[in-house]
Amino acid sequence: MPRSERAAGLLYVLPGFGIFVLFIMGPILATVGLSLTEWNGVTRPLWVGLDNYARLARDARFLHALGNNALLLLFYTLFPIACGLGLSLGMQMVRGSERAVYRVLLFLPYIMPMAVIGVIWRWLYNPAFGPIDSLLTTLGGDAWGVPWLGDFDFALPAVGLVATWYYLGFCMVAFLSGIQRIDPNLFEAARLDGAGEVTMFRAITLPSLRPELRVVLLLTIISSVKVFDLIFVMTRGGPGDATLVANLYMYNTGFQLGRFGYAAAVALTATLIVLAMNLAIHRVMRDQA
Amino acid sequence: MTPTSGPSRSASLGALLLCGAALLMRPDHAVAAGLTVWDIYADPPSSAVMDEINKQFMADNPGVTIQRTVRTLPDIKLTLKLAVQSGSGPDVTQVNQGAGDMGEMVRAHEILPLDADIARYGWNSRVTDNELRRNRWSDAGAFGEGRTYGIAVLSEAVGLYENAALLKAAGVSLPLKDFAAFEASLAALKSHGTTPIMFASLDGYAPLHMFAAIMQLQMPAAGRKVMDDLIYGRGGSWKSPEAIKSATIMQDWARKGYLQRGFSGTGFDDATQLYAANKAGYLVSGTWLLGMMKANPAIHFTTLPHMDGVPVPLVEGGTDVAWSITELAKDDAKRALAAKYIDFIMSDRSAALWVGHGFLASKPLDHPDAVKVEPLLGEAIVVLRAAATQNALGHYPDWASPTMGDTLATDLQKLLAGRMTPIEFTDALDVDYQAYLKTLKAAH
Repeated sequence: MPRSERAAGLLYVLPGFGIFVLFIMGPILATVGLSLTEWNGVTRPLWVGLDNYARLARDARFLHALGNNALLLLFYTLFPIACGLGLSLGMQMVRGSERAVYRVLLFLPYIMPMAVIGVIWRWLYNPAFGPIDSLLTTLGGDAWGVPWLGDFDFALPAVGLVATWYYLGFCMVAFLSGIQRIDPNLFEAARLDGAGEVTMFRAITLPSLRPELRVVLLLTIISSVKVFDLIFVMTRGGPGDATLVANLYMYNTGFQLGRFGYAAAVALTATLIVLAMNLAIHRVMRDQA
Repeated sequence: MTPTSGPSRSASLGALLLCGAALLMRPDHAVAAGLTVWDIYADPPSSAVMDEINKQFMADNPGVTIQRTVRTLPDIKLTLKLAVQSGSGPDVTQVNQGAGDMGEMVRAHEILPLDADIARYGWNSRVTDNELRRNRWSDAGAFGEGRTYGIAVLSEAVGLYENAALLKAAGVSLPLKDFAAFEASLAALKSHGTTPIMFASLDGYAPLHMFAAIMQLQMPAAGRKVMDDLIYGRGGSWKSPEAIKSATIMQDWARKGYLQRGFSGTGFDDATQLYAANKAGYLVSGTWLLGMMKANPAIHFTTLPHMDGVPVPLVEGGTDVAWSITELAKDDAKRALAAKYIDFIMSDRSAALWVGHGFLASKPLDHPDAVKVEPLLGEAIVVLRAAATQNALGHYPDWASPTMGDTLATDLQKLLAGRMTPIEFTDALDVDYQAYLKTLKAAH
C-alpha cells in the first residue's frame, strides 16, 4: 500500500483512536498509576509501590468478595446457559408466531436496565408486602416467609436468581439463532442411522453451537465478575458481607472510605481475573480447523 | 477540489472567533450573580421548604439566582469532595459532619471557616455551642475544637414514636413509667398480635440509631464527657457496659420477635411507611421523620423511657447536616453572597417555614405564636428543648471514625441475626475506633 494511502488511512482512524485513548486507555493507565499510590481523593497521592497489591492478597474481605463472585458464576453462567439451551430446544416444538411471542417475552428482561430490575425484585422479595412471601406464607405459613435479601444464607442465591432470569432469555436467543444455522440434513441422516434425540443433541447440536456457547460464556462470565448494580440496589453487599462482590468492595473502598489507590488495585485485580478467564475460554473453545 | 471562496472562509473564521469568545465568557464561580447550592432535602415536604426559602431569598436579592441541586445524603457523601476538587461543585453545600466527610474536606481546605460570619451575623445566638462544636476542626485535625466550618439549620433527636391507638388496643397505658414498663409493653403488644417495634436493617444504616439511643440512655448527661471523647476522637473505648447492654437488648428483642417480621429483608423507607400506616406500636427513630408521621394523629413522639439509676440520660441526636461554604466561592463578592445566603437560611423567616411544615428548627422562633405548630412537632420541640437545657443532646455513633458507619451497618446485621455476640460486636466497634485513633496520633 503506498505511503500516502497509509497516511490517509491513519487520519481516518485518528478520531476513533483519540476517543479510545481519552476514554479507555487513558483511564486504564491512570488506574494503574493510582493503584501504586495511597490517595484519599483530595490531597496529593503518596507513592506506595506494590503495597496495595500485597495487602489485597491478605485482605480477607476482598477474598470473601471474590468467593461470592465465583458463586455467582452459577447464576450468571451455568443456570442461564442450561435454561437457555433447554428453552431453545423446546422452542423447536413450537410453531411460528407462538415461538416469536415466547422469544420476545423471555428476552424482555435483557433489555431492561439492571438497576430498575434490582428495584423491582427488591419489592417482589419484600417480606412485608412482596408477592413472593405473601404466596409462600399462604401456602406454608410464617415458616415459609423468609426475608430473602436479609438472610445470610439465601441473600446471594436470591440475587443470583434475578441474574439467571435476566440472562436466560439472551442465552436462549443466541442458541436459537445457532440452531437455525444447523443443516437439517444432518439430523435427517442421523435419524436414518438410528440416532436418538440425546445422541443427536450431543453429536450435532452441541458442537454446532460452539461459537454461540463461546460468546455466551464470555459475556456471562464477564458480567458475573463485574456485577455491581444489582447488588448495590438490592442489598448493598449485606447482610453483613453475605453478598459483597469485588466491584462493590472497590466502590466502598474508594468512594465511601476515600482509599482510591487501594480501590484501583481492586479494580485492576478484578480486570486481570476477567482477562485470564477470557483467555482460558478462548483456549478451551478454540475453533477446530 | 476548488479552494474555499472568500466569503465562506470569512464565515468560518467568524464562527471560530465567536466560539472562542463564548468559551472565554463561560460563566464560572468568579461571577457573583448567583450561587450553586447543594442540599440533601430530597423528600417532598423538606424539598418544598427549601424551594420556598430559595424563592424568598431571590425575591429579597434581585439579580441573584440560586441554582439548586438536591442529592440524598449517601449521594452527597459520595460526590461532594470530588466535585469541589474538580471545580464543578457547589459554592454553598450541606456537608455531613464527622471525620470521613467534613474532617476530610477541612484537611483538604475544600470548605472555609465561618467564624467571621458567625460573629458578624450572630449565628452563635441562634444555636447552642454544643451544636456548633460538632462542626469544629482544629488545624491539627482535632474534632470539636478550633474553627467552625459548618452550621446546621435543623436540630434532631432520636426518640420513640408511639402509636397511641395500637398501644391502647393492646392494653398499654401511656405515658410509660420507665424502660422496664416499655419492655413489658413490647410483650403485651406481641401477645395482642401487634408488631411491637417497626424495624428495618436491609439498608444497613437505620439500626445504628436504636443501638446508639439505648446505649446513651444508660449514660447520664452529667457524665457526657465519655460520649464526647468517643465521638471527638479523644480516646475511650466502645467495649463499655452501656454498649454491650444495648447490643444485648437489641439481640434479645430480635430473638423474642419484638422487631418487625422479616426486618432484615425490609428497607427503611418501606418500614417508615408501614409504621405511618399503623403496622406497629413503636418506632425508634429521629425527628427527621416528623414530616412523614404528622398525617397520622395516633402517632406521638417522646424520649425513650429512662432506665433505673439514670434519670437524666443523654438523648442521641444533634443537628442535621451542616451548611458550609466551599473554596469554590473564590472572590470576596461570592463569599459574601454565600454568607448572606446561609444567614437567610438561619433566619427567623426560614425557621418559621421549617416549623410551619413540621420540622424542628435549631433556632427558637422569635414569635412562636405566629406559626401553627403541628402537635407532633410540638412534642418533638419539648424533647429537644429539654435535652438542650439539660446539656443532654448526645451524638451519632457513626461520626466516631470514617469507617464506623460501615462497621456498625455490617456488624449490627450480624448481631441481629445471632451471628455475633454482643461482646464480639462491641469488640469490632472498638477495633475500628482504636485503629482510627492510631492514625490521628500518627498524623500529629
